[in-house]
Amino acid sequence: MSEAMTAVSRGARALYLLGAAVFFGLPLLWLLLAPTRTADDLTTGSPLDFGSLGQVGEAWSHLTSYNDGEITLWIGNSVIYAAASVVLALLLCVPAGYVLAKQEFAGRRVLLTLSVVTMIMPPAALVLPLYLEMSALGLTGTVWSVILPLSFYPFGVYLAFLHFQANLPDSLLDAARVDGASELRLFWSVALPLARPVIALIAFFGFVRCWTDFFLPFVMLSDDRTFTLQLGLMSLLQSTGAVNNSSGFADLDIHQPEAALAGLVACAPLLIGFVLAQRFLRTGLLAGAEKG
Amino acid sequence: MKTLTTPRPPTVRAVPPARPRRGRRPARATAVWILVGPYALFLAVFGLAPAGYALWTSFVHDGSFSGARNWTAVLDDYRLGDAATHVTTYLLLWLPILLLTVLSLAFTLHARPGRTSRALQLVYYLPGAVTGSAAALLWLFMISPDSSPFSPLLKLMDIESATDALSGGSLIALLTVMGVAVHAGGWIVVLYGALNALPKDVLEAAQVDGASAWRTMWHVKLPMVRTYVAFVLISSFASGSQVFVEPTVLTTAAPGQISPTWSVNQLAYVYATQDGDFGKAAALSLAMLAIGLLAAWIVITRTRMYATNSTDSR
Amino acid sequence: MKRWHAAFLAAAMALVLSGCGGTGGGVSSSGGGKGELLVWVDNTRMAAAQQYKKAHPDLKMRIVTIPPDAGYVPTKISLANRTKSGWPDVVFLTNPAEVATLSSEKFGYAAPLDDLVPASVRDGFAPGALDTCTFDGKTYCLRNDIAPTVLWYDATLMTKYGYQVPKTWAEYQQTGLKAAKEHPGVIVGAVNGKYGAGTYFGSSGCPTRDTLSLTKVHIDLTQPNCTRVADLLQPLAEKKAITTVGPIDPAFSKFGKGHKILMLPGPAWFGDFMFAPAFKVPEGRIAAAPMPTWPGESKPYAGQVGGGAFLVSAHAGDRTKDATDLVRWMTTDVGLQARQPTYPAFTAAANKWGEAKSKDPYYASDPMPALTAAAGALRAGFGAVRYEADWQTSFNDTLGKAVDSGGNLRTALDGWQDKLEAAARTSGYTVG
Repeated sequence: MSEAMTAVSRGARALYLLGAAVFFGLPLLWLLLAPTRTADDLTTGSPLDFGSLGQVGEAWSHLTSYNDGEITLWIGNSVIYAAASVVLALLLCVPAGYVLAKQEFAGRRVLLTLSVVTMIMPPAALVLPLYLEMSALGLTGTVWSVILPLSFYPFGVYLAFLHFQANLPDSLLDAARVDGASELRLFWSVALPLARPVIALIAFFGFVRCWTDFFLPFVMLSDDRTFTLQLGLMSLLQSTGAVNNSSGFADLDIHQPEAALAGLVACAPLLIGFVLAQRFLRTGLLAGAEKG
Repeated sequence: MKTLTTPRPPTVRAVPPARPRRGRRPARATAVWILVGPYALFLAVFGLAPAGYALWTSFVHDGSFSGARNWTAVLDDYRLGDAATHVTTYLLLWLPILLLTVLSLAFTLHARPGRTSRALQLVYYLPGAVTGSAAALLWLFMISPDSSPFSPLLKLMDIESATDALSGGSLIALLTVMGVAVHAGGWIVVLYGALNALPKDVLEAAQVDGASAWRTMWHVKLPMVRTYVAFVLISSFASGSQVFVEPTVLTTAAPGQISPTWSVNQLAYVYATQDGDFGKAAALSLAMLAIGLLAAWIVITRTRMYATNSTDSR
Repeated sequence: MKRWHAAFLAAAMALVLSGCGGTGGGVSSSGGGKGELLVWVDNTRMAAAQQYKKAHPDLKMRIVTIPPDAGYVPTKISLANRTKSGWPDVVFLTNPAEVATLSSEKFGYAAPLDDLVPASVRDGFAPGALDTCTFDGKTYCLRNDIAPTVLWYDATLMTKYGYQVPKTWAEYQQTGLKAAKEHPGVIVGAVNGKYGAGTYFGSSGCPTRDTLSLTKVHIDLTQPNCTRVADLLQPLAEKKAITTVGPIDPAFSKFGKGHKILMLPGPAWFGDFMFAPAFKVPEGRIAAAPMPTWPGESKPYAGQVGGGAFLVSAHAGDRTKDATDLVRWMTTDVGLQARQPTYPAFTAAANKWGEAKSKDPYYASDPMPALTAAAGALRAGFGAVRYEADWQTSFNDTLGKAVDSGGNLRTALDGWQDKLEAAARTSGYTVG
């Protein structure tokens, strides 16, 4: 009886997970297949047709025909912007999250509250102030105008805060204090070793944010040679009318398959980042390190 | 990075090295500020200063102080009513479905962790990774019955073209589905990570007690990750009430079909971009912020999210 | 006590900040700095700009590709206005309606070109082409290309069904109704967003966006010029001879592939950029005729759906002449314009451009006579407005909906009027 029940519940569970996988997976499967197909086939063929691999190479060479292969320049820019912002964000978030979770100090609640406020602040309000700030510093149009604002990442601080709050017992810190460790030492040798999963999470989400952020570079950068991949692709795909023929009449062979390929190039790093982050997340945490 | 590290040390040192308060060691306060100081500086420069300036611009019109003029102009805007209705409907549909999807999938996955579970997380995350113009292409084809892998579903909904899908009642359903598809994956990872980090002995104890998987989830696991759930709730409420990406993507996919001011946040963007009217953009954004904060405050006080372990033990 | 620490910290940070601000300094010149001529063009215009640069080695010139995104240029200009720096000297607008924003008092960006470009040159543009650029008698831009509407039709289908290409709107309506009856599924038009509003209402002279000045617009949908369009479309909508599916919707290719497009009044660029690539209509079928005429009018008038424009910055200073020269060359050089993808606004260039088009085997017959006539007969009263986006969506919300649901189109006009007025007022117009 109960055997049957578990079988049923196991089946239901598998079915649910699988159904969700179809729902979430189909769109990307379509996108994955799209560059192998021709523009005609995309609208007229059956939805999940496979074209040919040669088509993909052709699509890529079409993409690089835009402004002498500017797309590779944008990829490089995006890597630089994202890497610098993520490293800086990690340096800021992890210690801050630890302190906010584990130390009582004046200003703690204020910092937490202000972090929420800035975290859910609609970006439209921040456009002008950030631009003016960067302009006053003479940084608009430079890499810093994108990197610095992006490395302020209250969401990451919250992830670190929640992590330390849930997974770093006070007793562990107190024990180290009794042993005479300084407060900085506590962070370095007690908290940080336990922070691996949350570092992975912050790095991943931070990377996603920097890689996909549109509005900040849109506002700060005015020269197409400094564009991020997102901004550049928007420019490329719209000026060639690749998504729909409503705008742009550039005389380039950039159509829907090329747009799909560009989209895949743009999201590949996110998926690689995801897999990498998972490896770290997997590591079990404290797992009973604390007794009593 | 040079520009930042140079001015920072004096700032930190400028803090009076924490005088002993109620017998605490001064070194402790110094250490605290060394660790949190740099973040606090960034918070001030890239969070508070812009927010403060936005507040100021919301009261300024054409370079001079104008009181509530921008605010009343925003409230009088004929587009606001429609946009607010759209967003409210969207939130009512999207938030519960998102939360349910995220919780159910994260817990189901965690019931049997392993390779399959990790692969599935990646699959669930996929739609969220496609952004910008590529997302416009993707969703345009997803909603076109002739070329979409979901075409049986679309035909079932009596949708014959993308134009059809984007008009009338199907639009909100479509945005909800899109919103769930795009946002669920990230949160599943966060929640799964939190569940994974739970002390194993507690969970094992629950299992030894013979508690059913359902009871373990409801009475043991869920309370233990309540702060995470609260975090999901706060962030999602804010991002839902500020919904922007999904309608914009559809606008790019099929220009002219959906109003460019479909959501409140889109209206704020139109103020800031097309109109170059930062005063109104700031006023509307701050109003959205206030709503998000109200929700956050309710969630935070209900879940005692801010408590450190020491103050939580009552 | 502790509160004071926080306050002190904040103050110290503010000091550091202001210190940074002081040392930072800023480039406060317009243009690319160092006297460079800063030029913003879209990708399609890039090659031409580079060609100009090569031909003028003495001219220091920096060319930047900008996205054709609606709102990109206004956003950048309003930010530049705040910092009084970073203005481009020359801008290409993919969305010419933005001229209305950029020349407004608030933006003050577009320079009037009346004294910079001789009248003889301006007269060389298609008549009425510069109306889009003109407010209060001042011309703020030069058109690069225009998008006059013609009556595109499938010549093969016409012969097969034994129909005549309509000369008047009454004939158009009869043909449409006949086709709907004899060949269900065949369409004779698309009423969606700018394609519906610009093609039908724009060509009829219905004042939906008749700009009287930068701050005054004439909107009156009760006029016969508007109601006659509603009456024209009403039976066609009821018999499903017109569709609300947008021409850019992938679903529209169903009509093309199934040879269901009998007629499609639409802009000149549909010929090269829609029928073959998007609608998948094979070679040798499509031809162009002039738009049908309205009773009491002796010639057909064309509406407009698209077309780009060049602006010169009011902040260009001593680079103004260089900027103007560039814009003049870009818009009026016959050799250059003859090679550009869409219909040139400059008449001499358009004639040259048409030579290749006439021989294009894609068309069933030479489309140039119809296109040339259309370019010469742009209907007046179709201005650049700051409510362009709302103009499109409000059309779909009112007339589009009524066409779909079999509602009364005259009643829908009232709804459109209200929405247009609201949109215009919000964008700073008085409606008269």
